[in-house]
Amino acid sequence: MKRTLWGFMLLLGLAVPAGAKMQVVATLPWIGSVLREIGGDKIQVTMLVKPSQDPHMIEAKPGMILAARKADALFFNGLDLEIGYVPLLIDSSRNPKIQPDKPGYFDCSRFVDPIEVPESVDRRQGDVHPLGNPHYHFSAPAVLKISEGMAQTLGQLDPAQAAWYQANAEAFAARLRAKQETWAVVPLQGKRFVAHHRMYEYLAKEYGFTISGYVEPKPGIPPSSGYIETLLKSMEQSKPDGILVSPYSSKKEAAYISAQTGVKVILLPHDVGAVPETGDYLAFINTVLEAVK
Amino acid sequence: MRFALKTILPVAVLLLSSLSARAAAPGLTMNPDLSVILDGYVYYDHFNATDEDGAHVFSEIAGFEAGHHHEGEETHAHEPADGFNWRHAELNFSGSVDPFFKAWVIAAISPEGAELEVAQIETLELPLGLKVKTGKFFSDFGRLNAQHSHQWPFITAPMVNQLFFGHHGINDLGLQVSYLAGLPFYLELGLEGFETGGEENSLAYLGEPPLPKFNSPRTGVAWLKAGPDLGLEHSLLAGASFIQGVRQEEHDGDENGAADHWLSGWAQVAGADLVYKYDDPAPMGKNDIVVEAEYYVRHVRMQIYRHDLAAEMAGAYLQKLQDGLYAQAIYGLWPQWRIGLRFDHLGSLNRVEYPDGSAATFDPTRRTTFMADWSFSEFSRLRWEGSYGEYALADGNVNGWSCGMQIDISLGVHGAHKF
Repeated sequence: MKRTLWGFMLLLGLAVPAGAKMQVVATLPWIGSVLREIGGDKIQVTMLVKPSQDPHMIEAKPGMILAARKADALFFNGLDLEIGYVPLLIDSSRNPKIQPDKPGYFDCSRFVDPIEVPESVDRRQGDVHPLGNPHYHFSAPAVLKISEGMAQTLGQLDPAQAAWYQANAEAFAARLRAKQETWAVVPLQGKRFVAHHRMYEYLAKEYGFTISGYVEPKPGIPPSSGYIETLLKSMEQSKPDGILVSPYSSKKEAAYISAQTGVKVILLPHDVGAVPETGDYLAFINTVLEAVK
Repeated sequence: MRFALKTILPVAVLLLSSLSARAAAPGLTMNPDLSVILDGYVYYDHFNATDEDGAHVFSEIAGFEAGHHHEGEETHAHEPADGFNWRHAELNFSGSVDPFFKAWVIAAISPEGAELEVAQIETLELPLGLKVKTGKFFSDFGRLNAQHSHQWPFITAPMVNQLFFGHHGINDLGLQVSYLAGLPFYLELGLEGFETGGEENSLAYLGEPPLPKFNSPRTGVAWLKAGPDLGLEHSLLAGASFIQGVRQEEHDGDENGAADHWLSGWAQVAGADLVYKYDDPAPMGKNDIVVEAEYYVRHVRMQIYRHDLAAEMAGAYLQKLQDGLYAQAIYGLWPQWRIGLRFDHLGSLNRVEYPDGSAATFDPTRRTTFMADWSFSEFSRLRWEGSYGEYALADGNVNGWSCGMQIDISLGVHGAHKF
């Protein structure tokens, strides 16, 4: 009887065999990519959002709950970007390891100084992010800090491999710093763009270009024809160098604006894997800067 | 769980004070998170061969009719009634109590008063994939039962849910233990015990003399939900549910205002549910698909406990064997726009055996409902709905149509909805 009971419990996956890879869940592709840099083959990364999906519009699906149930750690973007599913995933997972008071609860935005933190929040402004602009993954320095934090947390959860994670984080940092030198000379200073969504502000801040208007009148709210007319007028003044759109967003409006103004549409990946040749984080930033320059 | 209107006042004060306290940055202020859901609609229906409105037609469906007045059951105007309807304003408070518990309170305020819909506490850190929930909560029986009315893709509820479980569904004081297995596929199991299971559904309990008393929990529920892992775009989840509980009725056969015969027994409902979702990469819900269906069979068996008009009837049985299903599909036609179609079919099985030894089999009832909705943003939505149905009533079949328009709004930090 006792043996059947133990067999039953084992069958239900209650015991994790020793020496197994750490199970790590990442919400967004860029988080998964950086985790792979640091964890290498010592961790198994499950990503919850596909690069083709709009990161704002994700629902907690059973498969995601299941992944969270088995996770040793959950890494997410934070700043309320995943508010529609991460809290529910954590609750439904029944997994003590990823509860907010545990090291397995890794909010990447902890390492970031958010920009555009609103002074007051009113939904008349659209689906604003009350904690600031959550799309900080376009900032390589921010991601560098996060990668150091990841190495520390992975080491804490898996002390036997702590030195390995540390070494990988240092190697990643070295590669990123080398890339930053080539990125620093990309001529973006003073350029002006119109963007579909409030997504590229960290990039603009770092590389000295401005975003002079948005296709969306307010975050998450598609434009009316009246709004587009106003935008077209403002573009006569600002004379932007391009219209930035993400692969997941509607391109109809941008194409219309482009036809009216002659300003070219620039497809900018919003995450790792969203367009070809963005297989990892460094390639992603590289592609973004190549596209925008 | 019904409160006087004056209980709204302290709730409103609490609401306003928390709103001002958390104006700066919701995620950073202290618990609880707060939201308000407003759900109102305008509705019209018309039935030929009867002057009655929809609410009345639904209560007269052959084999399902309430018949006489049931003591202890409340009847309130949650049925769609012609004209403007205010389903309710729902105040939603939730938050972590400490590292070990999470709590929710949902108060539904309607013109008739305030009602405590949910007051539940659940564990956060139990090992082995276990979770324990207690308080007043919605049962996870089937699919629709645990969803709040503003989550429904249609204005009206499916008829099988409405007739088997009433307008509030299976919602009562109770305890739930659930388990999520760590297998390669999704498997969640749950057991629940309730005081009775609800106010106006298959599980009515009176417990007043001359009817026998039963100790709580009088209703038990078991369910499982399982689905394969189909990746990030497709999801499939199937469920099986069972509920059994005490059912008692009190009738006034000679209509003199006093009860004269009493029945006591049980009701069982068993069934299955299925949901498939496809999340297309196109923006704002375009091309997304949701297909859902639930099927239930109900068996009611009650004995006449006492009969003051015909004492010899005592001990005879009343039995009902009935089923019902709905199947619906929702499709994202354009960004922000969805259309949907639902079929209700009630009473393919619809047999009643009466205590006097006679039996009857009734016709099925069918309804087809179409809807379209438009989301202005994630927080507000307009919906249109129209239906045509053939209803088998106790005194003849009628057909009729209905139409409605709804506005559904959520204010504040609203927690994510379950899959």
